[in-house]
Amino acid sequence: MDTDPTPPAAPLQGPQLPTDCGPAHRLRPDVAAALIWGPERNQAITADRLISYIRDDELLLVAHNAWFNPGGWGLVFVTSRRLMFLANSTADGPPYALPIEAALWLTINGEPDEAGNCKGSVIDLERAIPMWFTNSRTIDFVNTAVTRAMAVQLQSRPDSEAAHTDNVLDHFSKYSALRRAHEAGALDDEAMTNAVHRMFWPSSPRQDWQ
Amino acid sequence: MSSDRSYEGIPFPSPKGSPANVEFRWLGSAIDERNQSALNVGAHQCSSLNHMPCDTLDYNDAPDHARTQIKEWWGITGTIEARQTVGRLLDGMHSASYEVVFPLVEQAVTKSDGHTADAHRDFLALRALGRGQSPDHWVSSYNALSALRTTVDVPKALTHPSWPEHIRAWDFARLPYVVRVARRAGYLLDDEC
Repeated sequence: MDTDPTPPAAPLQGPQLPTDCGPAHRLRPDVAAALIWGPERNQAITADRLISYIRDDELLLVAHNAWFNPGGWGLVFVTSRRLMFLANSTADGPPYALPIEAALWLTINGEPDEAGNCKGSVIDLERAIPMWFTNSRTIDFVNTAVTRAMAVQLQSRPDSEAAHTDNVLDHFSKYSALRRAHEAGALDDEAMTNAVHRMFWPSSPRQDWQ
Repeated sequence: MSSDRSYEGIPFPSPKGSPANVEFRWLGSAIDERNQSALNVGAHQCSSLNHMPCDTLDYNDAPDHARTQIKEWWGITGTIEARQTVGRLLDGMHSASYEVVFPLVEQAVTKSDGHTADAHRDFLALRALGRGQSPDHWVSSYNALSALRTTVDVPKALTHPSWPEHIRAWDFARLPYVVRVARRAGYLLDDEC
């Protein structure tokens, strides 16, 4: 056949941080989806202002109503890189923002009030930031977005330093295989002792150990 | 979009009384960027917690107090010990053991096949003996981390996905503190700091 063979499919990869999603606007798919599922009230002006702060290299994961002092009710956005809040009453100026690497999770603080609003806290590396949401499920959604975004952020950082594990898991696997063989009777006590000795004292003579 | 517009936003304000509200101390010292970067690593430890200025190695404690402090907290009583401690911190004094123990504990926590705490302890003890190290150190490091991860009522922080593979920041953050106090105690000279 003279047709080119189909190139092999790229290996499947886990979630990765986007690098260029294009300019953020209401109809960008991630923004549109978050707004459809998110805020319960019409807060188009706040949403538009907050959307203008979404960068090309971040995806909007969730958008919800939230109350934060100072400012009052507004919108909280969780993107793949930041947690942002902008109050409806804010006439101008940038939103509050927390890098996702610094965020840990959200907690639900107590029962909902009479209006159904629920107090939560955004926990970061140094403090708890109190914030109200329209219900406890919203806190769950925001919490899920924050923890997932942070997990991806941490996993997909090519410049992060790897731990020096000294191949401990490989070494343990070999040791574990010896243990299993010994327990199954494939190695008697003396053979096990010798095998362990060779593994952990590879260069010293046998009698030095005893 | 204009290039001068800030997309970063402003930090969330901290609640009243939060340690995060403690301002870093700056004296306005003339210091080159490389040295400042080195001191920045320990800014929280030194400035927020110990009221040392961020932009100089100098601080106000009496040398006698510095000697007492660094002896009680770090077991440093002279120049050689100070240099050794600085070297060990650079090598990951606390992180080095953690980085080896952590993957084993992770496997035990997730109940991976063949990974039991007893087998890990035996392995670490033999590994330490083979290297002329203290088995107690490795086994107790394992036990401490394992206890944290397997405690019955697990705090949320201990099951968080961001549990780190190394804790070098812990060591590096303490480096400028040890250097400052050892210098104030007269154990380290300006050149080597």
